[in-house]
Amino acid sequence: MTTSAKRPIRSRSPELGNELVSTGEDPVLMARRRFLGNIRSGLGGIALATLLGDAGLMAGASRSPSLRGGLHHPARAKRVIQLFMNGGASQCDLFDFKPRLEQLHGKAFDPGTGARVEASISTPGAVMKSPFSWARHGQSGRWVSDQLPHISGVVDDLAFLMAMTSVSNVHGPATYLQNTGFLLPGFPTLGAWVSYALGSLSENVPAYVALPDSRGFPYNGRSAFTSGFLPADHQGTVIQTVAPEPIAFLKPPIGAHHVTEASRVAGLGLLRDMNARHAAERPGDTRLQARMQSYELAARLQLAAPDLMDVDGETTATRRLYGLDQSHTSQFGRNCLVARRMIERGVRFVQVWSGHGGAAGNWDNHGSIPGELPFIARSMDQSAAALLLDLKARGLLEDTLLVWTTEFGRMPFSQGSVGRDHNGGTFVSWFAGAGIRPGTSVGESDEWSWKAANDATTTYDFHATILHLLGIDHSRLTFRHNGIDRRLTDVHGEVVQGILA
Amino acid sequence: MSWALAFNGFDAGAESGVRWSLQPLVKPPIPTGSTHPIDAFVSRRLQEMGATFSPEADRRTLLRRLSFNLTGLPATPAELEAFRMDVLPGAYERLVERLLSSPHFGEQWGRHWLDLANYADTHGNDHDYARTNAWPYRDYVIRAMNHDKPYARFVQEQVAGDVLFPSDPQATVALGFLAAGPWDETLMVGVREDTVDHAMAQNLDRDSYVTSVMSTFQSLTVHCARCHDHKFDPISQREYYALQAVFAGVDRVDRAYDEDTTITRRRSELATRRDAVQRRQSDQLPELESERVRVAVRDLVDRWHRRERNWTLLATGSDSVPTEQREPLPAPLAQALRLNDTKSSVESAKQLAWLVLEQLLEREWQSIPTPRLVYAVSKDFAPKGSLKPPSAPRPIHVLARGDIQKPREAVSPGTLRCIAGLSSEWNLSDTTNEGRRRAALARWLVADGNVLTWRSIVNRVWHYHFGRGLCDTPSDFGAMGAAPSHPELLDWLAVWFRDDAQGSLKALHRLILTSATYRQSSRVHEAAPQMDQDNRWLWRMNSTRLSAEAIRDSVLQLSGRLDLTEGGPPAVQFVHRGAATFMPDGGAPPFLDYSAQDPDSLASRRRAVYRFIFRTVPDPLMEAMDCPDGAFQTPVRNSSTTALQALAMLNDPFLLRHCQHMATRFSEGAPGSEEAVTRAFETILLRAPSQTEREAFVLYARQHGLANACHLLINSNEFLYLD
Repeated sequence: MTTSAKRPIRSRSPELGNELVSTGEDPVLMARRRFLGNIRSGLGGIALATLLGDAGLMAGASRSPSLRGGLHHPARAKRVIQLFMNGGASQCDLFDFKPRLEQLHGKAFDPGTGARVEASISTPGAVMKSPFSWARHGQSGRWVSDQLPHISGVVDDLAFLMAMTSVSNVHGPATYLQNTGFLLPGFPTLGAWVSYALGSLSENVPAYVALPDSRGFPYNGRSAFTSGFLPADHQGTVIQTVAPEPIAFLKPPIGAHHVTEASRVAGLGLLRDMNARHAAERPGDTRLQARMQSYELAARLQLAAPDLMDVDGETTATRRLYGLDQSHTSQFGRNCLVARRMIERGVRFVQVWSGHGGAAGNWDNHGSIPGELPFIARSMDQSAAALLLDLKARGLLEDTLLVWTTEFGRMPFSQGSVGRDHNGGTFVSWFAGAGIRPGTSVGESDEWSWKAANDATTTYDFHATILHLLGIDHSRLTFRHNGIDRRLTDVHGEVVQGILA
Repeated sequence: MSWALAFNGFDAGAESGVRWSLQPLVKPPIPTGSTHPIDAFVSRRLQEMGATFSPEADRRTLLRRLSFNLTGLPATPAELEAFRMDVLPGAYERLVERLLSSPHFGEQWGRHWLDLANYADTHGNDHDYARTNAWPYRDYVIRAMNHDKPYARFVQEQVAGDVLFPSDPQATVALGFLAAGPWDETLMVGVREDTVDHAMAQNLDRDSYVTSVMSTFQSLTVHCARCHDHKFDPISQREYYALQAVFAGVDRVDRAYDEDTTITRRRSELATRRDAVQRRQSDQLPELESERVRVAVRDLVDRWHRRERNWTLLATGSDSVPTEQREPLPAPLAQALRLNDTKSSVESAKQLAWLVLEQLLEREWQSIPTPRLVYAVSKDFAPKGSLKPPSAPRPIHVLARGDIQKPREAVSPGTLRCIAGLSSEWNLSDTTNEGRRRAALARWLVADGNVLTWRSIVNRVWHYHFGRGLCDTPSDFGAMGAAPSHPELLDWLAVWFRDDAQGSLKALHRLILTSATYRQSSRVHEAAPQMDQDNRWLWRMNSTRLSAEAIRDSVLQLSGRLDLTEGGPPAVQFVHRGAATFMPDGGAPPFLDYSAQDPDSLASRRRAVYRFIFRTVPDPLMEAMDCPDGAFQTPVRNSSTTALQALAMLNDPFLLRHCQHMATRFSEGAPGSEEAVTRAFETILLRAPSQTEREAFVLYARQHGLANACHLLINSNEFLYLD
């Protein structure tokens, strides 16, 4: 009955094309909005709306051929796979090569601008060069350290944001920022916004799937996949590919022997009859039909899910490409491969995590760059490159956006002897695929890789660019919550034109 | 844009000059035509629409509606029978009274308040450590609801209870309200004090106090003015920071309080006496000359000379303690007794009296029960990492664009100017006393003239009864919020609640529940007004879905396994890997498994309001049913319909297990499936099955077991929705 927020809905406007508009106080529209708020489902809400005869209101732009799936303008990308390096991947040990650090290694860090040098949990140490060796790669001549030999091989397909910045130097808020555009909990993630805006490409799969590191959730736990104040169906469906129960509630618990396939099928029939009689006595209550439909959708997901995760059917070559045959790459590799299967089957947004929360087993290398970074880099490098090559080989890269990111970078000076503390001043992300100009880069850090120097990219810009490629104007995708029309990009954000094709 | 400009802009834009919510509160005359004031207002509007009330709902519907609404628990078949058999006038009113006086009333309505307070048992954010002392506040809220604490007192206690009611320890527990929302341990404690991150976190911490207080009690989005003057409401950025200054002297910590007032009194009285002893102020300590002390000193000296040099007799009054277990004399006493031999006896006797009294008081002090802890706000606490108690309230500046690195002019504590007749500046004489700041705000909130406070609470209560407020946006009475459907009724209720009911929430419930408006059927009927499909004018009751908590609690009650223990530390309804990861200061983020929890464990059987609420790893079943996750205040819960919800209702281990228990319960003593199925319908749905249903369910139960049949009934819309 009650939906807390006024939500914008898609409607058609001949002059403006299709756009999200606020509906004001029209009671009929308000009633419909409440109705739609209740029936939408992550499993093909659009399809459901069509079933319920409301296609005109619900389907909107994403069904308009001229916009190629976009909401406000033609979409370049239909779907997104985001690889998230949890913990703060060290830009100055992976992509951002600085000869200056080699020269001044061991000297006191003095950027010389009078700027205050602060570190979040440690006392700033001496300048520390990267302990790894560096080389230029590809036609583009991109510097990459020896920690990423596979990604080095595909740099010409990538577009780098070399000077990303974060407002926060601390995991919790910085991860929220990178995921939701806000430092605080409670806001919808990028995936949730995409689900809200575009829905799923198939009625059998969720629009937004999160694949956490097999060893645990990232910082902020499940709220890293939250729909925030958006309706619950836009939250990330969490799939733990190596767990005994990869998707919560997909099957009855192991001990419930009284639940059988026969009892389930017969039971759903009985439930349908009972609900139908109940609904017939309450004409006009659309929630009741929607709830009946949700059981049908659930059954479709139950059928579709095993296939999403079934990597056994993949060829040996493919499995080997992703590193499924080696223990150090098999887990992240499996998630990357599953991500490809998901987008093939209609999932709109897949987020794959490398590293879990906590002090180790991630990119948060406070203690020792040479001791900790190689382990996590090696678990990610081959599979990430494989995903790119595989998407390309299958033609999926044409309309799939692949994004590699992290919550912040690391300091050019040492923490302890050979570790590095958090650095929101500058870090690196890269894009590949749909709508991206390969082999390019935007932005540059200072000579230390301490702070962004030119063409910095904020999280807002980063989000705006992803939405733009999906055919969404970030400033027009809004949701009213507790009195404010909220956006993924708050009141900021500019599309990073320099990496667009 | 300046405040004045903002206000003028606002003024010009509004039809009536001032937004409805800020207009002076006057009690409108009750329209004629109905004896019940609520019905009078509602039916007048219906008449204008050419519509009428729907007929009263049947007794089964009313009982189900009232029982879930007031206690969050399903009614039993026996209760239905009793209600049906009560043919005397006033049966409905008696039912209302019974439910209002149930201890489960506080659990249900307390939970509504906890949605606003944003309560959880962990801090939230990246590490999400346990907040082990949050629960006393949860119990405080439940008790306040059950005891019908007057609203003005309830509000004041939660903002400044420690200052305004220092002799009542529960008024300190009430401060848990300010602290209830998420808190970033890493930023507040872990990161260096001199970083921008830490300063930013302190700013956001104060923001959360302002947001909690102003959204909850004022239904205003004051927090919109953090970066600039409010775009739609007459709230300047300066006023926003004046409100931040109110909370500039406190942080969130575990705070000590006593279990009851006698302990507090004893403690404070004893503290005064100990202090006087310390200062050797004999004029404040007549007991120095008392018989008790004289005897004790004499006895001590006698024993000293007899070489019985222990303290046990004096301390315990008993000589039966074996010699080897006797406590030695405290050092200062032994030293004084040694001197006693050499000094003049009068002086040393007095000296001994002081020391003996000091020791006696110390004994008494130690016998006072240790204070309990509640997670609340305080100005005094032991420093931990970067979290240090401020010696005085921290200076607050207006921040350009809300940026901590761009401070502008300093501001004094104060509040909003938009409420006519109330002063927004307090001219506090002692600017370093943070308690006075909060006290001033608390008093301002509950002033008779604070029109928002009274409008806000009656609308919230209405919202929870009808599934929708008279104003649709219970925490936003500003220009971007909804306009009320029945403004006169809202105002009448606000004044009546403030003046006639003296802030008694139970009186307000009684008034609403006994109205014909509330007792209507929810069915759409033929005479339904075409213009109001949305039921804005209340020509029928709204039908609502059961809350996540009500579903969980119902299943336990239906299975006969509900543990109705009230209060106390939260029931942990998940399995966690490694105690260290779950307790405060643990190393890694928590790994929780809800599905591995034994559904039959004692903890699983507690009411949902008492469960351990983990902010970042919520219970998946509860989450699927739209239970708030503690990230934001939740004035209105979502009521979504998703496939995930269907999957949870079908496969959650807790639900499945308790359906098995239901089956056992319903089959007990039932000669066959027919009786058991009938009993399942009667207990779960409060009605007998129809002939068709009986046949189908009996057949199904015979083939697949009664547990599966019960599970279907739990999944039915008839169970999950309230007519």
